[in-house]
Order: sequence, then C-alpha cells, then structure tokens
Amino acid sequence: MRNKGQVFLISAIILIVVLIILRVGINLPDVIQNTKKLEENFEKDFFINVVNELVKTIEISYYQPDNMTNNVYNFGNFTRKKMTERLQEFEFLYVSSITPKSSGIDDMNVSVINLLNKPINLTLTLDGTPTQTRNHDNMVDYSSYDTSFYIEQGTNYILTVSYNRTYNEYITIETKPWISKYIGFFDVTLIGKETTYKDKFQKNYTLT
Amino acid sequence: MCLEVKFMKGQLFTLESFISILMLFFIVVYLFQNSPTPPEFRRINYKLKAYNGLKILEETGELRKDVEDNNITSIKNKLNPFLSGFLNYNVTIFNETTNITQMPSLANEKNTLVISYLLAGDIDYYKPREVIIYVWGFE
Repeated sequence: MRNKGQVFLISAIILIVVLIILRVGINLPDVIQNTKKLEENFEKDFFINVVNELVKTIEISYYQPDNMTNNVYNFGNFTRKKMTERLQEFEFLYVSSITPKSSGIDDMNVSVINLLNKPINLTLTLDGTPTQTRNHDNMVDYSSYDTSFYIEQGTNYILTVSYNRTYNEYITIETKPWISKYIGFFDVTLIGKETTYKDKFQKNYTLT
Repeated sequence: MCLEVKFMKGQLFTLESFISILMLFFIVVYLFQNSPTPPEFRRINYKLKAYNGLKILEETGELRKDVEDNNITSIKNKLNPFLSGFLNYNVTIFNETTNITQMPSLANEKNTLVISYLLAGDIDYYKPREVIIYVWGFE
C-alpha cells in the first residue's frame, strides 16, 4: 500500500462509473416526465368533474326550469371560489335559451353568464327575418344578462354569441310548437398548474 | 533528504485524496441535482388513488347519498379499499361558505395531500358541496 493516494483516486473513479451507470438506469427524465403526466391527469380529472357537475346542475334543476340558469350561475361561482383557494383559475361563459310551450310567434328568453374574469362587450344575434341583435356593453365579471327574442315556433335559428370582436360562437336552436326547450351552451376553461383545459359544448333538453 | 521525500509523499497523498473527494463531490452534485423525487411520484399516485375512489363512489351514486346525509364514516369506510391501509386520511364536507363536518387537526399541513371533489347536488335538487380527502403520514 505504498500508493495510498492513488488507491483513493482509482476508488473514486470506480465509484463515479458506478454512479453514472445507476443514473442512466434510473432514467431521471422518465421519472420526472411520468410525475408531470400524472399531475396533468389529476388536473384533467378535476376538470372533468367540474364539467360533469355543471351539466348535472341543469339535470337536477329539471323540475324547476326557472332555476336552471340561476343554479348554473351559482355553481360556476362556487367552482371558481374553490379553484381560487387552490391558486387555479376558472373561466366560464354560459348561454341558455328557453322556448315556451306555445305555437306561432312567441318570446324566447336568453341568458348569458359571464365568469370570464374580465368585462365583455356582448352581442347576441338571432338570424331570421328580420335579424335581431342585442348589445350589452361592459358586462362585468360575475354577472348575468337576460334578454328575449321573437321566434316562430317550428323554425330553427342560429344564435351568434360574440364579445370583444374576437369571440364568435354559433348556437343552433330548434323550436317546435307546443314543446318547451332549454338549451345550454358551455364554454369552460381551467387554468391548472401544468396545463390549460378547455371545453365547449351544447346541451339540449325538452321540458315537460 | 529522506525526510524531504517523505514530506513530499505526504503532500502528494493529501492532494490525491483531496482530488478524489472533489471528483466524487462534483459528480454526485451533477448527477443528482435533478433528483428523481420519488416522494413526488408517490404523492401524485396517492392523490390519483383517492380521487379515483371518490369518482367510483360518485358513479355508483353512493357518494352523493352519503354527502347528502353528511355521513363521513360511510365515505371513509368505502374509501378504504382505494387508499392503502397504512395511510392516514380523513374526509370533510364543505358547502358554499364553510365546512359542515369536522375538519381533521393536521399536524403537518405541508405534508398533507388535499383531494377535492365537487358535487352539484342530489338527484333532484341543487345543493353544491365539496368533498375533501386529507391524506397524511406517507413520508
């Protein structure tokens, strides 16, 4: 053991080789990637939970159609509050229409809920003859807007929802004489820690 | 002369040892600066397990009913198969403003997982609730 120092050096080199082999074996990027993917899955699951319960809000309010939109507004508020507590953001735009059980020309009520975290200049346009337009400028966050359009039962319409000249969505509204219909259009966004999730969809219900 | 050689050898020995230590130190720091964080991996796995438990109970309709009845014991019992036996966990139900069942006293909030599930109400009436599972004791 004359060259004790060199023994240290050789041992260190062997140890380093072993560590490198271990490091490659563990495959760190894969572990980190998998953890991130699982985190994303968890956020996505929560997003699906929110979307499902928003739809559920309408279904459980089925026998009180007058409360449907109001309950969606309340559940949207509830969700946003819970998300804020977790430092996540929730953005939600909801448009509903309800046609009465009647025939001929009647009123269709339309409601818009703004939970987009920003004020919007809203424009609603219903096609037909004549085209009807409603403007509601500076619709603040946490607010809802109610209006009505003339419709002829049995005619199908396209309701265009626009705001801030950058957003346009087209909602198909089918009407039938003596059948009351409720239509809900959802635009939901969850800004999570890992990713942003977004979903837009429409649900149609025939009321009794 | 002999003493001088011995002194030189001693110095060399110290230098070689020092270089070895330094090499090891740098390689360990370099290789493991982004540690694989297995605890993180475990944490997210527990969160998913707990969430899936709630999801399955919701799909079978049991969660909605138990939440409606504020029956924490039933929810906890039904979650047992989903959360490994060695974990500590508790369930609390919240309404729009506050908790309506007792909250667990958490010794170390930093190492507690919080898994949330929202419910709009029961079968035919609106009654928003948040079910939270607190999981701890896995470190």
